[in-house]
Amino acid sequence: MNLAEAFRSALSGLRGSILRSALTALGIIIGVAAVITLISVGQGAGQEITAEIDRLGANAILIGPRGGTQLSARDAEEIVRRVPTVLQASARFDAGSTKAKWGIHTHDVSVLGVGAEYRHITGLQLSQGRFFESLDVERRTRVLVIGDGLVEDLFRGRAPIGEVVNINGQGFTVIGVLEPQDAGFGGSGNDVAILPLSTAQRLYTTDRISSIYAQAESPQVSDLAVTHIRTIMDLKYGRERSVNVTSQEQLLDVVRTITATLTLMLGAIAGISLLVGGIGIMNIMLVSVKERTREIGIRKAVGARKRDILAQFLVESTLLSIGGGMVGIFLGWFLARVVTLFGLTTAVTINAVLLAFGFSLAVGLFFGVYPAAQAAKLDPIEALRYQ
Amino acid sequence: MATPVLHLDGIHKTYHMGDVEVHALRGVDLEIFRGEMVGIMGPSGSGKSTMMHIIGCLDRPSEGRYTLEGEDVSIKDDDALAVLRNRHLGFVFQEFNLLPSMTALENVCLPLTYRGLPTAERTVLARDALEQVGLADRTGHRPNQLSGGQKQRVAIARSLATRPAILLADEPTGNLDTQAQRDIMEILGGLNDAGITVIVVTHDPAVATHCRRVIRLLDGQILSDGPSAETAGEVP
Ligand SMILES: Nc1ncnc2c1ncn2[C@@H]1O[C@H](COP(=O)(O)OP(=O)(O)OP(=O)(O)O)[C@@H](O)[C@H]1O
Ligand SMILES: [Mg+2]
Repeated sequence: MNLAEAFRSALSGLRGSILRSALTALGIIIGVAAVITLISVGQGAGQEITAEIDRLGANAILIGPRGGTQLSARDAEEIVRRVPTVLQASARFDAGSTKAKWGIHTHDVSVLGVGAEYRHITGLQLSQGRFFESLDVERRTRVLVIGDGLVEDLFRGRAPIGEVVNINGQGFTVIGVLEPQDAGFGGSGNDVAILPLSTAQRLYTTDRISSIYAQAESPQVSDLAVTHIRTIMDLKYGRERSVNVTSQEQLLDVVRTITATLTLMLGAIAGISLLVGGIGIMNIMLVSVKERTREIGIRKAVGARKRDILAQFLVESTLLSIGGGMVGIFLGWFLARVVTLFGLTTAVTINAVLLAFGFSLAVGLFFGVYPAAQAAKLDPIEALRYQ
Repeated sequence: MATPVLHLDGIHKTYHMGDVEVHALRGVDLEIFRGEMVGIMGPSGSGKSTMMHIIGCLDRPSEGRYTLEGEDVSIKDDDALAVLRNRHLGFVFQEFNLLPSMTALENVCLPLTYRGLPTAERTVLARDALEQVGLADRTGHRPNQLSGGQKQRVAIARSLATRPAILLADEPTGNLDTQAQRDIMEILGGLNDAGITVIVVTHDPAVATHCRRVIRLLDGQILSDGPSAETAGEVP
């Protein structure tokens, strides 16, 4: 008897008890759907964070103070000068939040002072106007680039370019508007007012900076650049670990690791339910073998060999699990879509689908072997005499 | 005479039920030749079914030697016995033993499936067999849509489909009324005329008259073995 025959007799066996087959498959359906959905949540989270990090800008390197170090704008210049693998760098001063005013309208903003290079390092896009130049930074020009969130609130439909916005009692001319963006690590959201570094420092009467954004030549040299920057800073501040230096690559690595672990954990939890489904299959197959003892006896009496009976029941359990697996994949995909309605990003990857399918196939085979072997080794006479 | 188609030599069958040993067969010697029609009689529990199961390769003797078509069967493994059942033997049971979910045609096809024949060829052979038992018009019926006699005829067709050399029937008429009994025995007689060796277990002396040779069993041993005319008069 070939596989097609085993397939046929298995199908008729399943059809003999539709409801029971469906309930058994339900265990697998739920297991596979859980695997697909939970893995999609893990993968989706990873993709979202990766996109955030990408928004930092290509090959970006973040330098932050550590243990009381007071970074200065000169550090940024020094890094560009002394680290050959660094293309450009910009200091960044996070001044905190305050109110921006235009006429009678106000809007809460975070004030940021940065160098002209900052725009290129972080890949900021403008929807109107221009970003400020190095000259503006040198001359402490009183200009301002605003986030998209201010446009509607402050200007109420009027063109913002050229308007003077009041911050902390001083006026600044709007020269550019940023494209709308999602809030992230590097980005500062839409409620932001970006001033030339020197202008912002004077406004707050300080020469403090918060961090330095640098850009490495390529992803390949970014590790090298990180080490180099660290060495230079440690030398300058006369102690080890004076700064935190993190490259975009390293952040991506961390996220990849976290995502992989998260996905694995979620997948494993879901896998347990798949396993439970498999035990359900085994249970039902054992019952089925018992119930169909007489049928097995008849088949053997007319010439079925062990392997024929084995194949029949194995194909049956595998059909159950694969059928359940396929329905489960669709259900999982559907649930992943539903989850996005609650604001989570999900991603159903082809790998997850293949994994779930392969796993359900394996579950059917694994949990089908024992019942099928029980059926195959029945003695024909005893089987025929059964009840 | 020619070599026997089957030969039982000192066959014993002992069942162990806990500490109790049941001797179902106690030294049976028997030769059956090609083309014979043999009746097997004997009181209930005398070992008729046990002997039929051994002849039909459904069971193994505890002791003794069974030769089928010149081959020693006693030493073969389960799968080899399955192949023998499929190739050389047809078995008809008292309880029909049809698969309830299958049509008459599918039931008859079953042994052909295990022989590995392609579907088209199977269907031809199965239809043939059903025609031989007069059920050409019932191929699509399921067992629960057939009368007892018809079910038994489907079972005979199933055992015929593989064109076996030997047909074994264990009380094939036990569950049937007189008319159906007569039909079944006529069919078996016809098959025997066509050259198939037929062995029938029966309680009914009337049925036994169809057989040219009748073997009587008692307590697992052969009591008598001879032409039916000679034994017909005796009390069973
Ligand atoms: N599986 C078994 N386990 C134990 N004892 C058995 C088994 N099968 C048969 N026997 C015993 O073997 C003896 C012969 O049984 P068998 O079925 O061959 O009788 P039979 O001649 O066919 O009887 P009947 O005419 O009632 O069918 C009986 O005593 C029976 O109880
Ligand atoms: Mg019997």
